[in-house]
Amino acid sequence: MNHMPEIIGYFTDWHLLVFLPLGVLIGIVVGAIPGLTATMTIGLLLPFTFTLTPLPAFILLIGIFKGAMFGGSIAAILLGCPGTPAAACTMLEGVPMARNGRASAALDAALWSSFLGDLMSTVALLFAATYIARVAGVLGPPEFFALMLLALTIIAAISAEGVVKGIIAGCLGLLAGTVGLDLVYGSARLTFGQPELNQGLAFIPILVGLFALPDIFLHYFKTDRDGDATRVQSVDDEGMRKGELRMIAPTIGRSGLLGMVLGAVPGVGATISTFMAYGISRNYAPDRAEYGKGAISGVAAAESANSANGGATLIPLLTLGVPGDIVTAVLLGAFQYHGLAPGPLLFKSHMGLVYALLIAVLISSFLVFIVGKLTYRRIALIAAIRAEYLYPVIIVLAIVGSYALSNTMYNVYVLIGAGVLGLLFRRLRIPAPAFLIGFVLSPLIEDNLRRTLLISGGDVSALYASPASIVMYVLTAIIVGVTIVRRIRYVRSAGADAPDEYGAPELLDSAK
Amino acid sequence: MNIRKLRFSAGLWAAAVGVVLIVWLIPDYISVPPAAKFTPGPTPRTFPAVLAWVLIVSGIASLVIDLLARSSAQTEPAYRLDWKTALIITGLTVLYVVLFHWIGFTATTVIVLFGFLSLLSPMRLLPAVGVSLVVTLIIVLLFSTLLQIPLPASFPALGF
Repeated sequence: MNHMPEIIGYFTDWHLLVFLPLGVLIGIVVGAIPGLTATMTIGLLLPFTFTLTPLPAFILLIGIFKGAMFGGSIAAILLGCPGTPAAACTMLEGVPMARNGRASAALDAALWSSFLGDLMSTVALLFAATYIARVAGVLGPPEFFALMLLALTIIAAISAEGVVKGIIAGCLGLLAGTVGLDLVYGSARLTFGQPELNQGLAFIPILVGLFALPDIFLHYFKTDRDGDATRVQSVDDEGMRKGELRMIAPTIGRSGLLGMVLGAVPGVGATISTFMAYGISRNYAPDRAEYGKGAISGVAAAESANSANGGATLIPLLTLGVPGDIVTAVLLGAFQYHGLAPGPLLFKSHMGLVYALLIAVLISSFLVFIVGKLTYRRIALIAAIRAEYLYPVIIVLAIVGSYALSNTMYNVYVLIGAGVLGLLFRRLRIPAPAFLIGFVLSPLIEDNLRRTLLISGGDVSALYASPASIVMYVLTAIIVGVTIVRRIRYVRSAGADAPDEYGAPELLDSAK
Repeated sequence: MNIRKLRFSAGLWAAAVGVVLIVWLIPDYISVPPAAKFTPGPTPRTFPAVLAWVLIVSGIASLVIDLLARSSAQTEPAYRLDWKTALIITGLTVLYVVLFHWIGFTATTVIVLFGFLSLLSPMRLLPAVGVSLVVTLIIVLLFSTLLQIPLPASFPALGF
C-alpha cells in the first residue's frame, strides 16, 4: 500500500501505455516470421530503449518476448515453419488442421491456450515473487556464487551439443566477461592496451553478433536455401466450434501447470516443457485418436506449456537475478544497462518499480490475447515476407544499433567479431546460449566469489561453509557427472550413422 | 573421429585457448597492482586463471570424447557452401562497415541495401532503389529525430 502512489505514477506515463501494446504487436509479428527470433529482436531494439525510463523499456522487451510465444504458432500452423523447437509440437497438429480447412480454429486454440498458460504463470509470478525474494534475501555472496554456478552448469549440461561443450562455452563466456577493468583493483584485464576495452565488451553487439548474424549468413551460405515464396494456408474458416474450448480446458490447465513448474527451474527451456506436455496429452486428451491428423488439444497442450514456461522463467530472473534461458539472459543484460540488478535487492530498493512491472506483465498477458485476436489474420500475410528482403535490413539495424551505443566504430567491430565467433561456434558445435549466459553472469559470479574470499580473508572454505552452498555444489557435481557418464555411454554405443543430438530435441532454445 | 578432422574439434581449440591464456595472455595482459599482492584473497588474475584451467581440462575431455566417437558426421556441415553468395554477402557487410565511417550513414546504407536487394534477392532494380531509399529514410528519422541519436552524416549541410 505504501507504494501505491508510486505505482499509479508509473501507469500515468504515456510511454507505458504506448509500449505495452507495441511490444506485444512487435513480438507477435516477429514470432510469426520464420528466420526472426525474439532474442534477435530484443537485441536489435535494446539501443532504442536507452532513452526510455526503465519500466517502459522492460515492458517493451517483455511484451516482445510474450508476443513472440504466440507469434511462433502462426508460423507453425500457417507456414509449417515452427521457427523454434518449442513450436514443433504445435506444427504437428496445426498443419493438418490448416490443411483440413481449420486454420482459424487452430489459431484460436493456440491463442486461448497461449493466453491462459501465460496468465497462470504470470499470476504465480505475482504471488510468488515477493516470497521468493524474501527467502533469497537471506542468501549471501557464497550462496549466490553457488547458485549462479549451478544455473550455468544446468544450462551447459542440457545443451544439445553435450555438457562438456556447454562447459567450454560457459567458460569462454565467463572469460569474455572479465575483459575490462578489474572489479576491485581497477587494473586492466585483457584490454591489449586499447582504451575502449577498459569498459569491457558491450552486451548488445555480442548478443546480436552471436545470434542474428550467423543465422543470416548461414542462410545465404547454403546452396539449397529455399528460393520460393512461402505458401500461407488460408484462414477463412470460422474458428473453434462450440464446446471445443471446454473440451481442451483440462489440457490447457495440465500443460500450463507443467510448463510453469519446469519454467521456474533455470535451464529447463520451453522445448522440454512442450514435448512433455504434448506427450502426456497424447495419452489423456479426449481427442487422442486424432493426434497426428489434426488434434486441437495437441495445439492447446503445446501452446499452453510454451507460454506458461516463458512466463515462469521470469521468476528466477526477477527474484534471484538468475536467468533461466537465453531470453531472460538478454533481459538481465537489459536490466544491467538501465542500472538495475534483478534479485532480492531490487525488491528492497525498488519495490514500487517491481510491483508496477509485475502488474504491467499481467496486463501484457491480456494484451497478447486482444492484439493476437485482432491481428493474426493480417500477420499471416506478413509472415510470408521473404527472408532475403528482411535480412539486409536486420544487418543494417545491427550495425547502426551497435554504432549508436558509443557513437564510435568500436562496438561495430565487436559486433563483427561476435558474428565471426558465432559462425565458428556453429562449425565447432559449441552452444552459443551457454556462452552468452556465462558472459552476462561473469561479473556477478566473480563479484560474489571475490566478496566471499575478501570477507573470509582468502579462506576458500567460506565458499562451502553453509548448508545451502553445499547442497548446490552437490547438485552441480551430480548434474555434471551424470551427464558426462550418459554422454560417454551414448558415444560408445552409437553406430556410424548415429545422430549428433543424443536422441533428444535441442533442450536450450538458441533459436528462441 | 578421423585424425584429419581434429581441426574441427572444439576440445582441441578450447584446450589451446586455455594454454595460451595461462602461458601468455594472463601473465602479459592482466597486471596485478601492488596492493593485491599484500591482500589475502583473489587477485585480478585469479578468476581468469581458474577459467583457463577449466577450459584446458574440459577441452581435453571433449577431445577424448570426440576421439571415442565412431561417427564422423559431427564434423561435417549439413549444407553445401555457395561460395559466390558467401563472398557477396561478406563483401557487402565489410563494405558497409568501411564506408559507414568514411562517407556517412545515409549514402552507405542506400548503396549497400541496394547491393543486397539487387544481388541477393529476386527484387528488380527499380523497386530495390525505392526500398533502399525508403528504409534508409525511416532509419534516419527513427534514430536522429525520434531517439536523438546522431549518425555520421553523409550530407552534413542537409543534416543527414
